[in-house]
This record gives sequence, structure tokens and C-alpha cells, in this order.
Amino acid sequence: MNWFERVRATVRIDVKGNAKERYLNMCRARHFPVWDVTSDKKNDVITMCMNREDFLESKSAIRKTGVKVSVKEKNGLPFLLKKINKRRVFVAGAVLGMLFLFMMMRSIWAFQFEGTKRITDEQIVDYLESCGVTIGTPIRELNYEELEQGLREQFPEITWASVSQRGTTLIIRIREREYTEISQRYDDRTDIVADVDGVIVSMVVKEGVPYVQKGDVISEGDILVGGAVPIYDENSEISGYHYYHAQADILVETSQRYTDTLSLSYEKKVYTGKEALIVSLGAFDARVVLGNGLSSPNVESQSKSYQLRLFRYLQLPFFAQITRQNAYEWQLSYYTKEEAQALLLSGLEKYLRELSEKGVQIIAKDVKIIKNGMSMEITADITMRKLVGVSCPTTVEFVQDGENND
Amino acid sequence: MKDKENERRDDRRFDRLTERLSLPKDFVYGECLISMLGNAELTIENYRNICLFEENCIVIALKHDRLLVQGSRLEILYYREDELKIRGRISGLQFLGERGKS
Repeated sequence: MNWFERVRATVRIDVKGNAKERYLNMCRARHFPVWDVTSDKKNDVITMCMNREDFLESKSAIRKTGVKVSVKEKNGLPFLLKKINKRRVFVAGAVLGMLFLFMMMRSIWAFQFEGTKRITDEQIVDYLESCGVTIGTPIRELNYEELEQGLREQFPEITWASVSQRGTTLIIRIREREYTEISQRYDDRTDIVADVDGVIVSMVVKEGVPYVQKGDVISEGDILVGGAVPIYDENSEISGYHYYHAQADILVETSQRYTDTLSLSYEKKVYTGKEALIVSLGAFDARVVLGNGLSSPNVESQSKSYQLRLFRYLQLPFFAQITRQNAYEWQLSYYTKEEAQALLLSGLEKYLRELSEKGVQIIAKDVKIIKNGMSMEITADITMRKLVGVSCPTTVEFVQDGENND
Repeated sequence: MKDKENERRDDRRFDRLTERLSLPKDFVYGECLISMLGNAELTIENYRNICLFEENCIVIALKHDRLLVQGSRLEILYYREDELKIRGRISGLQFLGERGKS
């Protein structure tokens, strides 16, 4: 069946009676095309398809042959239009809906951020707003390259930015510069200086002259490895220096004191039991708020926002926000001895965990918890092994005798 | 007797003329043309009408004969003035002869 036949009004009919074949032959004799003819022996019926006009014209043949004909199916555009005409409100709604959707798809209705770490989404939104890109901005007005360049200029932390659009969502992908403590770097002529007091446990010098050795007690500020390597002449006298960026792994056993104080009295949040639910419905810039908020001065609010969307990126400008409010009061409370101890110990545990993450080995710890009036104090003497040493410019300078005489 | 002989002579002359002119025989004699695609489709041209149509057998009247198509799930894809096409699982074709003569 080609498209023209699909568009034409056709009927599928059941023919019953003794002269079914005669009716078929009469249709052919009258040049009425017939197709998809099947026979159902059980019901003694022939089913066939023909054009609606031909069927109407074949009524004389029906009369002559005495067959009983019933229309089983009506196909084609004219019948479809008739059906549509009966449901015109529904069809009009569907068409209007499609039209509305099409209009909505021409604007940006949501932002999506990827790769933000230190820069907050709000900061980027503020910048976009300053560029005239807000919720509802027509997509055709967006200049992606300009926005990307502007983001890089506005936020120096951004090393790479990409602005793209999918559906009605503006996707902003950025890559921030990795945070590195900008320390002064000396590429050459540096010594390694101790930054803590302790005893050297092991020492592996990669470059430079060691000033200390395993087992030595060092203090903060001592030069551990020198970057100036002396050159001796035939008289075993220093004739000059080779300067290096001193490098060494120096493991030092050192002790450190950890202290923390906790006040035994604190203000506790006690919920009064007063609750409120606020539903806010919005479309474009308009908003309707259903429900009243609590009038108490101390109110805890939890909000959840929803945006209507058809697919992942096809966001529409219809919003709903559900806010739950709980009223509370501050009440003066006191920690028990056990609670305070547990809190202080958990603080110490956290500190030790952080040290371990930095590669520090904890050898021993001596913990003391003392109650001091309305507060409790924890003191921990921690013995640890850690890599020490910071780079500092070398102070050794080669001075020739002749120069001294001058 | 003479008329019959004359008729046969005319027929022979007509046959020879047809062969010399290379005219299609189905057109000249009004014979049916049957073509099959495996045992699934059957196309018939130059037929008269349908005598019987059932799921398992179809009888088609030709100019000088009747054709019985046997099979299962037989259906007529189209039924036009000059051509009809049958689809189904065709198991046999049989010429039954003219009605009243066989």
C-alpha cells in the first residue's frame, strides 16, 4: 500500500452469503480495485479491502448477489479527519502544547555547573547575570566564546572554561587551577634547614653536603644539608664551590604537644514542636506561596526545589519549592564527664588522622584530660617521626684571598 | 466434413503466421499467463473470474479452462481486471477443464 492509498478513504468489509465470489467478480467487472482478500471458512466470510467510493457504488451488486456486507474497519485520512473533528478540543490542546513547548525550547531555563571547587555556582551565576545571561535568555542571543573568555578573565583561578547548551540547559564546565602553596623556589644554591627540633633517625642525601648525621640532635634553624660543595686544590684548600639545590630525605623523631579545651556548658537546640509547611509554585518570574511561615525568632528551614523537565536537559520554567519549618529554642545544657572526654578524644583522633595522612608516623602518645572548673582540657604529648627540612638560600660564598686583602 | 477441414487448415495457417510474426501467444490466443514465486506467490493474467474462494483452495475460471489452486492460508493480495495475485502456502495447481466438458 503506497502513501496515496493510505491517504485515501478505504474500508475493510466482511462479505457473507452464498454468492461471495460473485460479488467479488462484479466488483472487478465494475473496475473496483480489491485487495487483501482473505477467507474465513469457519464463519463463511470473505474479508476484503476496497475504496470507500467503490464500496458505496457497489450497493447494486450487493443487492443483486444477496450477500450481507458489514464494514469492519475504516482507514484513511478522511476518516481520521472525522475522528479529529469529534475530538477537536483535545487535538487543539495537543497542538497548542507542542507550540508552547517549541516556544519554551528557544530560551535557557536552567544552569548546570561542572568542575567548580573553590568558585561557587552563585559566583558564576552573578557573573552571567552581569553579562545579561539569566534564566529566560533566548538561546540565539548567547555568545558562547565571549562567555568563556569572560569567565577566564573574571576568575583567574579558571584555567579552562566551556559554555554549551543542551535543550534548555546552559552547561558551564570549568577547570580550576590546582591549589599549590606558592612557596619561594630556589632552583640552585639552596641549603636544607631544620624546621623542627628532634633527633635524626635516618638520612639519605641526594644532592649537597650533609652537615649532620644519624643520631644527631637538631634544633629548628640548623642547616642539615649544604648546597655549596667545596672544591679543594692540590694543597687541600678550598678553591671554590659547586652550588646545588640541596636535596635529602631526613627522617626526624620529634615530639609535639596537642592541647584542646572544651567548655562544659553549651547551648542546645530544643525543638518546640511547632512545624509549618510552605509550598511555593512558580512559573517564569511569578510565584504563588501557599501556607504561612512560623513567626518564632528561631526557625530552622529545609527547602527542596523542583523544576519541571521533560528530559534531562529540557528544563521548563515551572518551579515548585517545598519548605519545612521547625521552631526551636536555645537551652543551656552541660556535657557529662564522659561526653566531654569523648568529644575531646574524637578531636585528638581527628588531628592524628590528619597527621597520618600527611605521612607522619606516630610512635607514642601520652594523653591527659584534666577538668578545670567549668571546662575540660586535653593535653597529648605525641612522639612522631616525620620528614623535615625546608629549602633556604645558601649563605656560603667563596671569597678569594686577594679580595680580602683589598 | 469439408468445413472442418477448412477450419483446421485456417488454424494451421494462423499458427504459422503467428510464429513467423513472433506474436505473443497469450495475446493472440487469449491464454492465461501464470507465474510463481516459489510456492508462496502466484500471479495470473488473462483470467475470467473467481469461481470459488476458500482458505485452502481457489478455483479461477480461465478462457478455455479452470485452474484449481490448492494450499493453506491462501489470500488474494489484489484482484484487478487483468491480473490477480495469490499469496499463501501453495501445494498444487490443477487444470480442471472447461465447466461441463470435464
